[in-house]
Amino acid sequence: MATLDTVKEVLAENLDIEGDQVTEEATLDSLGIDSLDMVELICDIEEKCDIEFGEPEGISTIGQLVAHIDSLK
Amino acid sequence: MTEENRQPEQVQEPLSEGALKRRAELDELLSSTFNSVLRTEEKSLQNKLTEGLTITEIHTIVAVGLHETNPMNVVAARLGVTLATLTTAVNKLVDKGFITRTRCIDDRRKVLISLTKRGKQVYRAHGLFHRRMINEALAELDEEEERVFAHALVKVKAFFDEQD
Repeated sequence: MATLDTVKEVLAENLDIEGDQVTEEATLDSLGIDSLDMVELICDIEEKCDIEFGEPEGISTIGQLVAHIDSLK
Repeated sequence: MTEENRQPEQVQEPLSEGALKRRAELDELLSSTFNSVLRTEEKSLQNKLTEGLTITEIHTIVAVGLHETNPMNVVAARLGVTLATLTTAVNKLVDKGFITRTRCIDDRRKVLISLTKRGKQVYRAHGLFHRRMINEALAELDEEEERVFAHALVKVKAFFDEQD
């Protein structure tokens, strides 16, 4: 599964965010994702993608999130 | 300080009135800052990921390590508690779904513990709280003040570490 689709799936499961809102350009803020939501999101992504996410600074868009996950695969 | 580890008294110049007053202020500041940090941390636990956990339970989860699988004695040493104390704490956290127990492949008698997904969420939420707290608490200090503060705290902490 493409990373963006995994992110869409996790966001739909946890936060009821519609898939069509989740584009590479969308910011976490614009989707209403706060830092605690991000913690949940990261832990789910770690499990689904079998990665260790680390603690990167400066991820503010879905595109940056996807790029970071891909860099760990 | 106990009798056994008390250092020989050094002959010191008597402190001026101003210095004595400052010492009294620092004594009060140290205690009240410690209590404020604990209170702030307690308040921060009222969120969806850590609700229902005590600070001690959160620190046990943090000591297990984010992506680590550790024997009980390693985690007990990190926390500075006995194996019996840790076993009681871990049993509760296993029941609550934050920690998982496995047997070591090489030595089946050895129990290893690691965090479940919920445990990892707590670990990360705790880290988030600490980063936010330190950033906000130090926001009013300029770079030089922060450097001097850190330098002085290292020296003060060395005294308290010696008391362990």
